[in-house]
Amino acid sequence: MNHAIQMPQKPRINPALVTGLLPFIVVLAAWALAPLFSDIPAYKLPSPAKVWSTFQDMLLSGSLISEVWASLQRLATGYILGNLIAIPLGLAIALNRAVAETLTPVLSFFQSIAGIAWVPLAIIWFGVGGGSVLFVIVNTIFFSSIYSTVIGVQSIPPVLYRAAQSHGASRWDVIKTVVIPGALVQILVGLRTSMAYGWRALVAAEMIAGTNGIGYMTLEAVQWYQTEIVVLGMILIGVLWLILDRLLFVPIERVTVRRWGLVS
Amino acid sequence: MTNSTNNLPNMRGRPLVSTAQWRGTLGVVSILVAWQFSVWVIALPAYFYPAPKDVFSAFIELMQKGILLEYLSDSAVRYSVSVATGVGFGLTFGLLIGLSRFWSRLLGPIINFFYAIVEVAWIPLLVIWIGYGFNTIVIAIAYVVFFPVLYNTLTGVQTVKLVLINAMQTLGATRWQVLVTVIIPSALPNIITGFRVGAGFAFRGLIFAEMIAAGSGIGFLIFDGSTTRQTDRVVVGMIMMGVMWLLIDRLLLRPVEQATIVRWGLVRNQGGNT
Amino acid sequence: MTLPIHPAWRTPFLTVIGLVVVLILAAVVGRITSARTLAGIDLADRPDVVVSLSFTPERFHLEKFQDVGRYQGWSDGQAVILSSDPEELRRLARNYWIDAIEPHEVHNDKLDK
Repeated sequence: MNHAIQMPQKPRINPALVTGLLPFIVVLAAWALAPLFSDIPAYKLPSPAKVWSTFQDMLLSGSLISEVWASLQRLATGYILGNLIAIPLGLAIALNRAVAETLTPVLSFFQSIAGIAWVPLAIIWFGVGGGSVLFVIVNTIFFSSIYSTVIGVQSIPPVLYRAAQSHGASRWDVIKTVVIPGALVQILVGLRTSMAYGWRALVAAEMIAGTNGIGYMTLEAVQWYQTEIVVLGMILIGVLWLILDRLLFVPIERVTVRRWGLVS
Repeated sequence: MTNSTNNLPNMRGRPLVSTAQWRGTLGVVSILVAWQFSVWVIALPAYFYPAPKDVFSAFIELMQKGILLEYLSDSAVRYSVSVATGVGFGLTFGLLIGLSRFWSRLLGPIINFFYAIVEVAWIPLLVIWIGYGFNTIVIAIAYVVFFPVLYNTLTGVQTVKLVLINAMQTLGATRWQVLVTVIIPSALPNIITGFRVGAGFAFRGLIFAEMIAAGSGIGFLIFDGSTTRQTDRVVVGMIMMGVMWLLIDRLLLRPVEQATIVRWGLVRNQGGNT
Repeated sequence: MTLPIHPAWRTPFLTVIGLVVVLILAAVVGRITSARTLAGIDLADRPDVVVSLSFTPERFHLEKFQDVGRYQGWSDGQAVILSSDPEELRRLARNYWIDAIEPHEVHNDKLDK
């Protein structure tokens, strides 16, 4: 061994990082080398290089940005609209115990079929296109959030109401100090759950009833056997969800955990 | 259970149907009435906005022609197989990753990555790879169930009280015994939570998968009805979907939850994920 | 009835048992119906059959007819299937929505309508 050359001190590599990357490397290698070892036709398994170049082409031509933007716009609109109506309405319903008990089975039923099951109906009513997709997203978010909100209010321990009232709180005070903070945890959880369902509803609805957007782009490519676009779409869908989740919900959870201690 | 007066049912004063249940039934009936009323007000043809009676007669027709029962059973079989597969894998990997630092480091990141790719996104590729039908659907739906079960099992395993494991080991338990008598029972409420979340996503996912990748099933019924402008069938499908979930929830999910929490008296430990 | 399991598990346990029982019953009833429906037919050499239904068949039913053999058409409450596969025919006969299955004589006036 030649010790004459002085090796610079190697930075310490985190062993966890390496082990974690290993599966990715294996998958990528298997993907790239698969054509060498098997008869899989190119249309079924496009090479990583092909997917990458398709990505570059679509990015440069602007078509990728427009599809992604269309989807995100739709999601944001649906999410804000759905929650904006659902949460106040849910609170209003849940405040009166009789009304809440009357509507809970109905809300639960609609929550279980929310979203995807409405796509065909939306097609009949609004035709294929962005309107139907938006309707489905709003529908999903609305029923998901309203159910969470109502359940959230119902799970507030009754002793808190009595405590507030024994201090002479008016109805509005009770709402402000007991109901809203008490239900808030469940509402925030509901925000996250409704986003998880809403995201799936977006992609799924675009596939069936859309004319643009990532979901549409991904399924449409199946017809033309453009598998590289399908794979690209999938990766994009994954990356977008990661961004959405990290951006929106980790902060929310941090706030709740920090302020109220453990999430209930 | 101890004989606390709060727990003993008071058979004398207790009504057969609680107030909440009466109110709930009233709610369902009111919705049906509101529906019928809206049909009169909106006054559009049945293929656009069907009335309850249209939907009911479509239901009868689908039963008589044998279509509904077969679609229901197809969906049920796909659902059961998918959920069982997903739970099996999720449980196995959850335990593996929870109990072994090596496996956690190796598989953690890539599982997190694939978790981000929702099952809905896999269906087009699966269709290209293996075509339409049962296998595609089962793979996609088992995939959905896998992640919540894995993550919740992981949380359950990681929050087992160390003192219990140590106690068992001082008594000379083997690793297998520790697993079976301490870790799994302690993690069970979390595992059940994971199962419940997975079952929910799986059900929605199944209906979607049947819409684009199957020729039978409730999802297909809903989709096909819209293609042939038989909106009454679409609504039958939607109601069947709700009823199916109601049965799954009431007859399987909730009782199992009750049984594990009631039996072990454990509070659910909290982790992060949905 | 006392069950060998903790009462908390009663509901899911009975549900699963109930489902299994229903499935087995359905299969058994199906087999019996099938045998009865096909009573007068010799299945040995791919018979031509006439299937009677009390409704107009939809694509769902036509696909099943095509699985059985060469589907010739529907008229007057009856469907003709030539050269039927015995196993598929038995499977078709298990369905409760079939009114009757009879052997088909080739030169049958009914079909000329």
